[in-house]
Amino acid sequence: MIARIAFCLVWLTTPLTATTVQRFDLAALTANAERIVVGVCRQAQPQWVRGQIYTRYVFSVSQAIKGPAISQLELHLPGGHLQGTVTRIVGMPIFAPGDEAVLFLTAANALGHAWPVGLAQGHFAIKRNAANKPRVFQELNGLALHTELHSPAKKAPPDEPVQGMPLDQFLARVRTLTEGQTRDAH
Amino acid sequence: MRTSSLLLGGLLVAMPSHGFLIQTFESRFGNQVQQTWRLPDRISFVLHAAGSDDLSPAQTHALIRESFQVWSDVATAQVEFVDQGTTQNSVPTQRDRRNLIYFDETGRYLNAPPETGVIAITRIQSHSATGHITDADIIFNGRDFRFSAGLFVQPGNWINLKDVAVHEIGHLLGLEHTPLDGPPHIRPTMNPFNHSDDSGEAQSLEPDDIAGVSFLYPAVGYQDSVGSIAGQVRDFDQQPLFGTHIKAENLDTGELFSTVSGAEPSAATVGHYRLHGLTPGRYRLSLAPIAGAINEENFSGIFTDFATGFPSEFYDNARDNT
Repeated sequence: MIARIAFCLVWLTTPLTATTVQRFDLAALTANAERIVVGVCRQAQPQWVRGQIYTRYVFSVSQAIKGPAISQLELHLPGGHLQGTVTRIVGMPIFAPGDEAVLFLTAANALGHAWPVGLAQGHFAIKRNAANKPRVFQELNGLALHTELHSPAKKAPPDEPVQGMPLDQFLARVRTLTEGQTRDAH
Repeated sequence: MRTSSLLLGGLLVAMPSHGFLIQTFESRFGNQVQQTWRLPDRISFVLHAAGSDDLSPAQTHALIRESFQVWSDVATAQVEFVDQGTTQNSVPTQRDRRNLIYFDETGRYLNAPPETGVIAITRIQSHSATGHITDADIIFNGRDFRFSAGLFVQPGNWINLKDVAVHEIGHLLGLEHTPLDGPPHIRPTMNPFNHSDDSGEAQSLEPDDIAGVSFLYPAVGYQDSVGSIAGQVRDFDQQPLFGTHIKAENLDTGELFSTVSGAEPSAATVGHYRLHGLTPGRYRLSLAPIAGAINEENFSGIFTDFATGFPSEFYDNARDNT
């Protein structure tokens, strides 16, 4: 009986998480990413991890812009819908099989999982128009963004907006940024 | 859809209510539900005793208490927080019905890799059918950010604690981000952007925030003291438009209020809107797409797929504000 009551309570509640994150422009996304890949989501499988719902995503990777070349990638991100319970993290990207994306990914956390840099900021959805021309769209999903403005460099005029930019043009810009940052590091 | 010209119908009525947005989600039963507290005059919170590593526990607790006070000081809202003191043992969980304020100095509870840039999260658990909030924890990322009490925050990963806390408590109360922007001194606290150069500006509430919390939890007599403007946004084909930004400026006081069409679960169509909580005065009404610096990506829940691609417009189909 107790178990049944507990199940009902879980089933009837809806978790929602509001999130404030540091704002990253494209240069900062590139600099903070351990790897940047272009891929397609092939699987989305929710599961329990330490009492919280995580979704395991499997991506096939067509290009690695930064980091080692790979053909497949796994992400484990908090949130998902499992056994009547929904956990949604505002600002955490959600993928469905077939979704194409450019992903800027962090190093792994203590659980061995990489997340998108700046949560939804590190996810650029690839959408195709009627002529099958791919363009990139950043989808922030409700994030609150904090900008640190003290640095004079950060007060420079912003780059041309990337929202809706053709994929090849976007990737060329990311490659340029990656190469520049690599040169600076040396 | 023809969007070059829109019909903006406005009707001034003496009824209670808002201009901001309420956290609204579609339940698994298919209905739209707003997240609110059933007993807003008894919202408890408990502070983790350790506080932030960057401040003394007493300083941390004082700043968090002041942040709650900012919201409970709204005279037109009936919000009272019950301070349950501090705890050594509680950890963030969505099932204990304790509203914990916690600084995660190790990343154990957030689990976010450092480069994610997560500063704070507010985890809210609510009843699917009623939207009544049952548990809300605010977790600050003390591992990757340093929290300051002063208005001048140093370059680097320093964050003014109260700026973030007041905003997150707005979410805890059920407020969604507002589409209203503007200079720091009038930008609503529930605006999705916070700038360290404007440190301190998010600690005070603006008319839009006050109207929001007063609409959600009205004090006795509040509803009789304010008015609302209601109407419908349609395109030339008479199709209702969802997610258009309706702004009302009080020409006598300069106060700004806003909402988006279709924001209320009770709206007859997705094009209907109602601006609530308007103080007495003459108003200038305008309509614009939510696009640009603030766009639909800054919202969650039902607030997606907004109508865009049309020019701004003022009341009675005017293209300018004269």
